[in-house]
Amino acid sequence: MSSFELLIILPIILGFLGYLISFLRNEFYFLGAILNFYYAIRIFLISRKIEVTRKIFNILNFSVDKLSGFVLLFISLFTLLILIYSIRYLKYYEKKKEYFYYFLLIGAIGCGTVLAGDILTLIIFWGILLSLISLIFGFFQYATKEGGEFAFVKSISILGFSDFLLILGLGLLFISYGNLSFNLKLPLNNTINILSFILITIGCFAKAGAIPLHSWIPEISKVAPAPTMAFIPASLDKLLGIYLLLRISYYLFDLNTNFVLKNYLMIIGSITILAAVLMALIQKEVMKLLSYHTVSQVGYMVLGIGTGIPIGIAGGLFHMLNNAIYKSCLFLTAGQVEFWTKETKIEKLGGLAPNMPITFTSFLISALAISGIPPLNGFFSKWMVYQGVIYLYKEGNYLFPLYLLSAMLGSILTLASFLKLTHSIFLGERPKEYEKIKEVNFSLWFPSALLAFLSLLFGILAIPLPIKGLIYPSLPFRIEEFGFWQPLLAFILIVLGVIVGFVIYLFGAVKKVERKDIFVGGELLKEEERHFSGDQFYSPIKEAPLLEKGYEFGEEGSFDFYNYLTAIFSGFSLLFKEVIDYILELIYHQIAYFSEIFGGLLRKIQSGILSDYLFVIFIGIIIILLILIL
Amino acid sequence: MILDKNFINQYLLFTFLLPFLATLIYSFKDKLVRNWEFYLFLVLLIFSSYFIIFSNNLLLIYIFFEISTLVAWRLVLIKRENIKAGNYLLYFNFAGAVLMLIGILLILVENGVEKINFSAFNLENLYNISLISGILLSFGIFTKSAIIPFYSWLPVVYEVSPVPVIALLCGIAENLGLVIFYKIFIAPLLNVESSFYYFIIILAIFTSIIAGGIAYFEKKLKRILAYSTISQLSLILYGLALKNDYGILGALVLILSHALAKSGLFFRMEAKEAVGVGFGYTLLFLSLSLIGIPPFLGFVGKILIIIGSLKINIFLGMLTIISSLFTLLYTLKFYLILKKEKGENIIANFIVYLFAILLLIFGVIFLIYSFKIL
Repeated sequence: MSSFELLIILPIILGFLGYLISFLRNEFYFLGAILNFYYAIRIFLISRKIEVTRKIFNILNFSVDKLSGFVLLFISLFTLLILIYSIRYLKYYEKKKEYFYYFLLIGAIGCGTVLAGDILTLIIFWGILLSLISLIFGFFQYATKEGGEFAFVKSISILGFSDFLLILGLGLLFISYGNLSFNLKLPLNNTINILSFILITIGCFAKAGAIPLHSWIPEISKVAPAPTMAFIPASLDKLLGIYLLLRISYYLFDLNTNFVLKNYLMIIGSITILAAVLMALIQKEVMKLLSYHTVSQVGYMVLGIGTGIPIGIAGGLFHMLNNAIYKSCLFLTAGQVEFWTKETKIEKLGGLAPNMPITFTSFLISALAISGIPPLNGFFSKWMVYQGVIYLYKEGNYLFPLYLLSAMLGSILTLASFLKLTHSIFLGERPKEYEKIKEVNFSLWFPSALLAFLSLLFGILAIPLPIKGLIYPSLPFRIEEFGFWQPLLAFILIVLGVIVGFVIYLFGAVKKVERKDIFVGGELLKEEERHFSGDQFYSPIKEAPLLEKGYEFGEEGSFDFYNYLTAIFSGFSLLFKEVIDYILELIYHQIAYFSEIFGGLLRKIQSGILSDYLFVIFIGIIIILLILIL
Repeated sequence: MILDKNFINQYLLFTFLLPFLATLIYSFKDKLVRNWEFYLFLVLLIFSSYFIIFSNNLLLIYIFFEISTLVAWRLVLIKRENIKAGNYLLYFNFAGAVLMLIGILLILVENGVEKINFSAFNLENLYNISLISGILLSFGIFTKSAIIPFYSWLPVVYEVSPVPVIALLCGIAENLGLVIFYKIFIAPLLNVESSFYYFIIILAIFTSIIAGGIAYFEKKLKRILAYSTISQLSLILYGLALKNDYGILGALVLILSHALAKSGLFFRMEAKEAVGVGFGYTLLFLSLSLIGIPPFLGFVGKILIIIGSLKINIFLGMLTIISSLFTLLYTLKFYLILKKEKGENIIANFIVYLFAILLLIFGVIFLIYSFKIL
C-alpha cells in the first residue's frame, strides 16, 4: 500500500477501533489524526519533487501535484488541531464517540477529495463528503438546540442542490471528453465547456459559501458547536471549494480565454465581500457574526481567482490559506469563551480579557489578521488581491475600480465589526457572574494559540515562508510583483514604534489617568449598571437611508437562496398537484360516474320480468332483420 | 447488454427476496398480518415474480402478472375496511391488463403467427413490435408501475394499507412491471420502432418530475412516500428506456436500492425508534440513498442514469437532475415532519438497521464493480 491509501484508510480504521473500544477511545482517534497528518506530510514532500498518479480498484484515480499537496497538508493539519480541541470541548456531550468518528472520516475523505485525479473520483468523494457532513450536522439536531432540524434541512438542501449541479457539469465533461484528468486547459469557447464551468462553479460556491449560496452557514452556526463551525465551514469547506474553483479555472479549463466568465467570478466575489460584511456588522450573536465573516472572506478569494492576473490568483490562494487559519482560530476562541460562559449573545458578554489572557491574545491576533492590519497575514493576501485587481486596467477591464472599492470597503467594515466584537467579548465592563472564570486548559487553548501564531508567522515572514515556499510553486504561472511591501521591515518598524511610544510614556509628560465617579441625572451610576454592551455599536448604519431597506430585506430572508429554491420548487409542485393530479382525478371520477350510470341502465334492463326480456328480443330481431334487408 | 442474462435474472430475484424475507420476519410479530391468508399471498407473490423473471413466454408472463395483481389486491384487503382502496387498485390494473392483452394479440398478428398455441407466445418467435402494440402492451406496465396517466391508484392504496403490505407492494409487486418491460423491450434484440422509446422516455421523466413535485407538496408522510415511489419507479423505467449500457445498468441498480430504501423507510415509520443518534443513523442512511448521495446504493443508480441520459441529450440530463432535486427536497422534508417518539417495535428496527447497512455495503461494492464493467 502506498501513502495514498494509508492516508485515507488508516483514519477510517483507527476511528472505527476507537468507536468500538471505549477505554482507548481518545488515543485511537488521536492516533488516526496523527497518522493522517504524517502521511499528508509525506505526500506533500513527494509532491514537491514529482507528480504522482495512482489507481485504486480500477475506478478511483488519485494524483497529486504541488497545488493539491499543499492543500492536503493544511486539511490534515486542521483535522488534527480541531480534533484535539473538540475531544476536550465536547467532553460532556452525549454520544460524542460518533461525532469524533465522523470528524476523522471527514478529514480523511477531504484529503481524498483533494487528491482526486479524474472526474469520477471527484464526484464520488465530493458526494461522500456531503453525506458525512449531513451525518455530523444531523448529529446535533436532536441533541442540542431549537431549530436544529431546520438548519440541517436547509444546509443539506443547498449543499445537495449544488452537488447535483456539480454532477451535471462534470457529467457533461465526462460525456464529451471521457474520464478526464484535471490538467487539460480546455478553452472556454464552446457551449458545453462554458455550461459545465458555470455548473461546477455553483458547486464550489455552495461549498465555500459565496453569495448567493451562503445562507446555510449562518443558519447552521445557530446550532452547531464551535469546533464543527471551525472545521467545516471555516476551514475544510473553504479549502476544498476554493481549491476546486482554482483547479477548474486554470487547470481543467483556461479562464483567461473567456472575458465574460472572468467578470462573472469577480462580480460574485465583490458582491459577496460587501453584502456579507454589511450583514455581519449588525449581528448580535458571536457565532452568527463570525459566520457572516466566513462568507465575506470568500469574496476575496473568488475575486482574486477571477482576475486572471497571476498575482491576483496567488493572492486568492494565499487568502484561502490565511482565512482558514484565522477564521478557525476565531471560531475556536469563541468556543473557549462559550465553554465557560455558556453564552453567545454579545450583550451578555464583556471584560473577559484579564480572565482569559491566552484566548484574548489569540482572538486579537486573528481579529487583526482578518481585518487586514499589517504586518499580519490577512493584509498580505488582500494586498496581493488588490494588486491583481488594479492590474486589470492593462487588460482593458474598466470595471476594476468597482471591484477594488468593494474589496477595500469590505476590509474597513470587517475591521469595524471586529472592533465591536473584541470590545464586547473581552473589553468593557465585566458582568458579575463571570468574575471567577479562569483560562481554559491546555488542549483547548493550544490549537487556537498555534493558529494565531501561524497567522503572525505567515504575516511577518510572508515572503520566505508561505509565498516562496507554498503559494508560488503551486501555481503554473510566472508571477510578477509590482507593489512594494516588506512585511519583516514593517514589523520591525512597528515594534520600534511601540518601543519608542513606551519610552515616551515612561519618561514623558503623560500623566496617569484620573478616575472619578460617574453621575447620570445627578445620581451616582453604580458599578453594575455601567455595563455597556457592543451590540448597539452600528445601529445607526442600520437606520441609514439607503441601507435601511436592504437590512429589512436581509432580515426577512429575501437574499436567502434557500427561500427562492423552495419557493420555485413549491410553485411547481403546487402546479403539478392542482392541475395535473386534479385533472387526472377528475377524469377518473368522470369515468367511474359514467360507468356507474351505464351499469345502472344495464341493471334496469335485467329486471327479471319475462315481458321485458321478450321486448328486448323483439327489438333485437327487428334490428337484425333491418340489417339483413339493407 | 454487457451483463450475462442469467446473472441479471438471478440478481432480480435476489432484489425481490430481500423485501420478501423482511416482511416474512416482520409478520411473526404483527397480529394483523399473522394469518394463513397473508402467508398464502406472500408465497404466491414471490412465486409469480419468480416465473415472470425466468419465463420466456409472453402468455406465461401475462398470466403471472395478473396473478400478482390479484395478490396485491387481496394484500391490500387484508385490512377489511380498505375495500375502496383495494378496488381502486383492481380496476386500474384490470383496465391496464385488458389493454396489455390486446397489445399481446396485436404483436402476434404483426409477426404473422398463423396458429395460436403456447409456443407462439415465445419471445424468441417474435421479431418486431409496432408503435401501437408496444404502447398498448406498456399500458399494463404503466398501471402496475404507476406511470402517468395511470398512477392515481397508488397514493390511495398507500395511505390506508398496513406497512408490511406496502413494503411488499413497493419492494416487489410494482417492480414486476419494470421487469416485464426489461424482458420484452430491452433484453431481446426485437425490432421495435425507436419512436416508442422516445415516447416512454418523455413520459417516464415527466412522471418522475411531476410525482416528485406532488410529493414535495404533500403534508402526510405516507402520501409523500407514495408519490416518491411513483417518481422513483418512473425513473427506473426511464433508465431502462434509455437503452444504453449506463441507463440499463443504472436502472437495475436502482431497482434494488429503491426496494431497500423505500420499504426500509416504511418500516422506519413503524419502528418509532429512540431519540438521538440512532434516530439519525438509519433514517439518514435510507434518505441519503433515496436522494442518491454516495457511498450509498442509490447514488450508483442515479449517476449511471444521469450519464446515460446525458449520452442522449443535454436536456434529458437536466430533467433527470431536476427530478433528483425534487427527491432531495421532499426527502429532507421527513425531518421536519417526523415526530420524535420512543419506539418498541424491535423487529421493524432490526429490519431498518439491516437495510440501512445493506445499502451502504452494496453501495460500495456496486460502485466498484459497475464502473469496472462499463
